[in-house]
Amino acid sequence: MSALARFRRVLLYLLPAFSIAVLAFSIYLLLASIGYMERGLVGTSLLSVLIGFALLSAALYIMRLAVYVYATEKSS
Amino acid sequence: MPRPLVKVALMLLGKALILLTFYSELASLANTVPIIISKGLSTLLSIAHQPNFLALIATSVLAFVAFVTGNAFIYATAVILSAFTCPKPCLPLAKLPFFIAYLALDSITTSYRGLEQRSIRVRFWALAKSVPIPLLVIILCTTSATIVTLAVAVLISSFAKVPQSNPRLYAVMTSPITKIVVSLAALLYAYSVAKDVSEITAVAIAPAPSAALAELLREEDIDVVFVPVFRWLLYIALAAVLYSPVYTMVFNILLPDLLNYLGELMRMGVSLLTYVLLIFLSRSFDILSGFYGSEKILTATSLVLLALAYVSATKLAFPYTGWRAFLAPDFQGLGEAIQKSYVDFGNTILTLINALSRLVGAAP
Repeated sequence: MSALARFRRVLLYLLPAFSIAVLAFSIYLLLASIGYMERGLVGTSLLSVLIGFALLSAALYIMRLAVYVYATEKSS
Repeated sequence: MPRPLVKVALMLLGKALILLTFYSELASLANTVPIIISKGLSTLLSIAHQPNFLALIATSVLAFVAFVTGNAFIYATAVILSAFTCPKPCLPLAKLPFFIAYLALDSITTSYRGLEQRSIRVRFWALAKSVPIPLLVIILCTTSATIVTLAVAVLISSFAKVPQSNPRLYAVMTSPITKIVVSLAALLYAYSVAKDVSEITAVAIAPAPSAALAELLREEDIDVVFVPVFRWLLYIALAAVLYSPVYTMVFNILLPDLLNYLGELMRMGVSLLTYVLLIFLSRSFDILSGFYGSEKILTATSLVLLALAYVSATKLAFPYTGWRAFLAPDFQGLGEAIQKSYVDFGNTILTLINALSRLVGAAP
């Protein structure tokens, strides 16, 4: 029973950790796109900025899910 | 039950606030309306030599509408537009406090109910604690939106560093149109980011278990299919690819006499309508949109395009082979016509981009 409780606590931290990882990767891609544009690689830069924005949206969605799960867990 | 006097007084106070905000604009409207009535519209056009005159007129008209209806949204639009009434775009600092006061007054007016008053006792500590929470939400969402905007601004400023050996690419990347389009897209994206961040912060600070459970149980909001950002740009490009064949088949081959009867403006309207229709149709050609249940539209569109190609190829072959054309349509001639229209379309687009960039001063 205690193992299950511990697993549940780990699950609570899983979503925020995953979201922060995706957020960090998206920020890296956005910075990299600026670097590519400075070096004149237009296509690479635009592609990487697109991937970066998509990952940023994904990170925000996961964070939203995590926050709702946290709010639900808080009652029980 | 008659309307409480206090509510009427609050509404009058709101109208007075609008008058105070826009007294100069309303005065200029009161000055220009007799001129328009007495001397006609041409006089107005002749005195509109200043570039910010139109903004002034639009602001004053919106301010008048806001004064009559008391609509907060129109008021906000008028305040934003009034930034363009000075020679250079400027922040309407004098109008913003009035606007914020009007918003507060508006929420009081709509939620106020006479004869149902009851006083509640609030501890000072609870009152002090209620201030930083909304402030934190506002600060976090503003910061994230600012960071997104700054990232895109840096990207736009580094557009100028693309190799100047490719002059056409250089002209496209440094033209103000590209910058405006990219900034608009960034603005829309920053808005959605700010919305998400404010929701996350609000739920994290003040978790409401039942509301969160209801949100998690709502399937259509949680089970989202991955939607890449800026998808409408792809639809516009896809519509540009589809536009030439459809236009050639419908207006050059099937109905060649129709366009001759129409005037220049009508012809332009028909082409524009076709293009906008194709932008919406190209959503169904999107692979990911199949998840949303648009297979029927995809099937119908593909069948209609195939039927169009068959009918127009038959019509091309009909004068030469007679009724046998139904069995041997002239796809070769159709392909050549479509190829020619692609070249024409590309030339038109390039000329248009050149002319536009010359108009806005991006190219010599």
